[in-house]
Amino acid sequence: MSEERLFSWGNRVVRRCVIALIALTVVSMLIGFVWLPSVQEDFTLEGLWAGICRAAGVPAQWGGDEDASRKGTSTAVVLEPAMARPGSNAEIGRGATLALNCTMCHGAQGMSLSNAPNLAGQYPEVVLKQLEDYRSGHRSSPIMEAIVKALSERDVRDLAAYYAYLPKARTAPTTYDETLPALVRVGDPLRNIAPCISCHGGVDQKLGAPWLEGMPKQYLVSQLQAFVAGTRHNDPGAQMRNMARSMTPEEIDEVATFYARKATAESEGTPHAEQVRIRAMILELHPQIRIEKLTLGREGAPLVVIDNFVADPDRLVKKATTAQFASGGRYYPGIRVKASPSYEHFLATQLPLLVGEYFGLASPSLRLSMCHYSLVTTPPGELSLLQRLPHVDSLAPEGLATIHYLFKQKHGGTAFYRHRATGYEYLDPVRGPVYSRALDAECAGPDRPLSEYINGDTSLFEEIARADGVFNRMLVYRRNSLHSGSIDRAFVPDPNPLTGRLSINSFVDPA
Amino acid sequence: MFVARRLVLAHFWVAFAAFLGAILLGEWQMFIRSPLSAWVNNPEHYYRSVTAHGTVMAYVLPTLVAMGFGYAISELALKRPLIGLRWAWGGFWLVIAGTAMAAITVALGKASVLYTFYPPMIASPFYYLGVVLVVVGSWIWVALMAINLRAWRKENPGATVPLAMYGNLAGAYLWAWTSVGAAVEVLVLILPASLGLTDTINAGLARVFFSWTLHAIVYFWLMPAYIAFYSIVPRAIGGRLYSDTMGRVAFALFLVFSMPIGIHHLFADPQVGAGFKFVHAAMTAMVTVPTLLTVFTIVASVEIAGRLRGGKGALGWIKTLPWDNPMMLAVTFAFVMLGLGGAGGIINMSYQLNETVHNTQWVTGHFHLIFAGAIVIMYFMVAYDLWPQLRRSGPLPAGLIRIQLWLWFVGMLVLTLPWHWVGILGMPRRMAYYDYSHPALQPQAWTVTASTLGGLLLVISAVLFVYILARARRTHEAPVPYTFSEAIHMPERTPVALNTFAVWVAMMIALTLVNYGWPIVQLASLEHASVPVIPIGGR
Repeated sequence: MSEERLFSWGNRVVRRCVIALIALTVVSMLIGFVWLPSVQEDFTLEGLWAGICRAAGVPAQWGGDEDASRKGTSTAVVLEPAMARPGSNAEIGRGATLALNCTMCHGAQGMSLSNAPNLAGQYPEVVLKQLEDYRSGHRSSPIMEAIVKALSERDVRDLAAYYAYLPKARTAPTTYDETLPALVRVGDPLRNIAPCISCHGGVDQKLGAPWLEGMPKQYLVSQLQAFVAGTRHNDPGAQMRNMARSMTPEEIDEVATFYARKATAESEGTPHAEQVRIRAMILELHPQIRIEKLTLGREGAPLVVIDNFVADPDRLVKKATTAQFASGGRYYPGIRVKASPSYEHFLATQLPLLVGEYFGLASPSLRLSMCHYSLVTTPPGELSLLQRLPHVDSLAPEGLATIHYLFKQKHGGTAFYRHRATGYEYLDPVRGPVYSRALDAECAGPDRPLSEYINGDTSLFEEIARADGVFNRMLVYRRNSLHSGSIDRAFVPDPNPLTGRLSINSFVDPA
Repeated sequence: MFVARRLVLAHFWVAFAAFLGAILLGEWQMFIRSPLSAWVNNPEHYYRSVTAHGTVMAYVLPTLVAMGFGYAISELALKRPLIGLRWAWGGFWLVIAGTAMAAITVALGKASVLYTFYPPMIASPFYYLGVVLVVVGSWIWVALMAINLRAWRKENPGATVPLAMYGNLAGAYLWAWTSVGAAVEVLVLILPASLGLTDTINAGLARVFFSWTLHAIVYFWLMPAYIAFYSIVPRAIGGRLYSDTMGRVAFALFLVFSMPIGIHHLFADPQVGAGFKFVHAAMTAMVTVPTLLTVFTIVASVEIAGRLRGGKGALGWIKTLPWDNPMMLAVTFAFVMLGLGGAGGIINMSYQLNETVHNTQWVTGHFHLIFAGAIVIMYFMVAYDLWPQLRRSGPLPAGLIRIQLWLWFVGMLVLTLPWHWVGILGMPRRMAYYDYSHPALQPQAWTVTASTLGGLLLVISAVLFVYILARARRTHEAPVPYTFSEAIHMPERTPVALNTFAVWVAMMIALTLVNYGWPIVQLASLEHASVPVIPIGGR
């Protein structure tokens, strides 16, 4: 048997199999490519060869009249995942400035006070697509079409980045249960209405589908009606027109009420959006800026004191008077509110130039993980243990902290400390556990700090440096340096930004 | 067995544990979309479950069973220790790692794209990488099977390869070539999009590549069952195999024809030309040949068993068959389900008839009946048959096994026949809920309840199956030496073509190039063929 050759024409089995397979292939190809097409008019119209090509998946021309297909297009924008990526700080900063033109209708901070849509927290590709649709005439609005004409492609991108950066109207998570309207939750399969939450967030958030929660009801109703009437037709594949046409007026009202309701339900207890607004502004460095580069204690951690930081600090104070402060959380002994994006942008771009080299920042761009107006308002008797001790803001040495003093009264400044027991002036991942063990033991004993703000040496800590709170002064230091606000024991809490201990505190990280 | 006992056992245990989990998901899916339950509030959970159920049942279970059974056949049929035991364990752990990776990603809701991927939907890369690891693990098995046969041939020059090993290698080569389609789809098209390197994907081309894998994978699932038909069933019921050559012909034909026919899954896809659809349909019809050959040969083998037990006359032998033997019961159930499912399959592959059932519940009914019915019931029998060898236990309790098989058979029919029926009525598949309050759908509501109850029987049967395997205890007696079926007349000489694979593998590859070459080249070179990807669970 081993003498029988496999690949040989003399091998009967192989020969017959090969012939049979070739015959089968040829016959089925003739039927599939020649005979069957020959009885179909659209295959034979342009002759035999054209018919074969068509059967092979290559028609002589694709799609016919190109003009006709272009006329029916609902949008010229092709949605790509890249459009959904968050913008850079520079883009957000530029967008914030450009967005000053939009506040009349879309509200400061993107929360509309009229029936124009909210833009705060809107997905970037949504803003991009709608603006491009206004530009190309696929969506119509006399106002928006005129406005978009003045915008470059880059402007559109920056605006999208800015609005995406702002916090959304909704803050509380929604649970998707039977309390939701049926159309929102499960749609109506037999009318081909998909659930709202399968594209607009909840089950899934599809690319290009806008964030709806908190939108003005009248806006939602008018858009759904426009989809029904066909006066709005920039939805790809007529997705929304097909949904809306199957909906009754009552259902349109129901889903619009549901999506609009969230904002009002949540804004209970918080003031009207008007009071929250902090207008974006153009910031500049003070012409007489003065920078002092220092080192701390024995371990020599860097500290920079910048006097006369911004050109118009009073404006920053004024902005704070219209902002709505909220509790500062576990660590900060007072109230806070997010500072404006333009201030963040200003810091992110100026700090590398001013102090980058001194702090050894390798990266030319910075990112702000926190930037808050802060007011110390907690009475000494209510301070938690953590608030009565010097602290670090992180164990990592790369991160910086800034404090920009915006008060003219004598409210104290910031001091840096050495822990007496360990001798540490800064912490890192190795020192952290040692330090906390030592401190825990100390706080369990007679040296537990009293219910007062720290000011100067204590039995546990030695003050190694101090900077006074001077109006428009900024301190820059490493977040892992032991520090604390130095506040007089007789300090009287004052929640008024004009007279209280107002500062802007930020955390800055290499981008 | 020599050295592979623990290896085979590990493969089987993981396969059946995953199977048990996935069958519970399947039953949950049936329940929540039946009139017995309110609509699921988050339909994404349904698709997450479908993805997990499909991934385990289509990739993990059959791959591990084929691998474990393959290693067992290699030792038992070739009567020599497995070469490459370490590599085999390596392959096993790759499959485990891949399964875990894919399962976690699916559970997190980052991969609800169904096991057939469906670009331009794009899931987290970890899901695809998990599936790739499963496939790569199985490629190690393919290589080891070839190496072991080669070593045996060296020791036994000119001898006829045992039929079980011949079928085993046919399955391995089939899998190696068929998995290339999905591998190319994942590595070249999907992963770059999933990793964010590209924003668009040529979805039409991707679907063609997947169809390359999609149909032949079914025959890879089927191979262990067919090997069992030929090399276990006749022995287990006290008969003889009617024809050894017929078995080889069937395996060879599967190798040639199961691969280049996958475009019959794309009848509704506009990007593939009608001519290729017809050619694939015609060649799909050819797959009925090895199936009918097998049915004929095995029925003939069963008849031999009946006549050996004293059966007379044209049909008298049926009465004398060993009906209390679980294998007899299983092969009967398998053929009934194969017959019904196969008839349904001929409807699916017919270019025109397919239009009436495309993407309806009919299709779900079809592949459950064939795979979960006819094939998986033979997986059970393979495990039962090998268990005394693997666990060194005594024979398993035949009464419990018969109950388990009956439950599986009845459950599968109650599950799938209603699906076939409502499929013809037009009920779409892959729906998380149906509106039974609608007058047009209300009359069909009972069918979904029926399927849910059928699914419940299957869950009970699956639990019973695992219970029977788990309670087998090691006895001190040495197991009875394992044998495969003997042919009633062993041919004096087997043609070299039917003792080797080169001709069939060459034909398989040539036919693939003819049937897939042009559609792939044409779609790959088409301009503007890519569409933006749709990330799933990204936000």
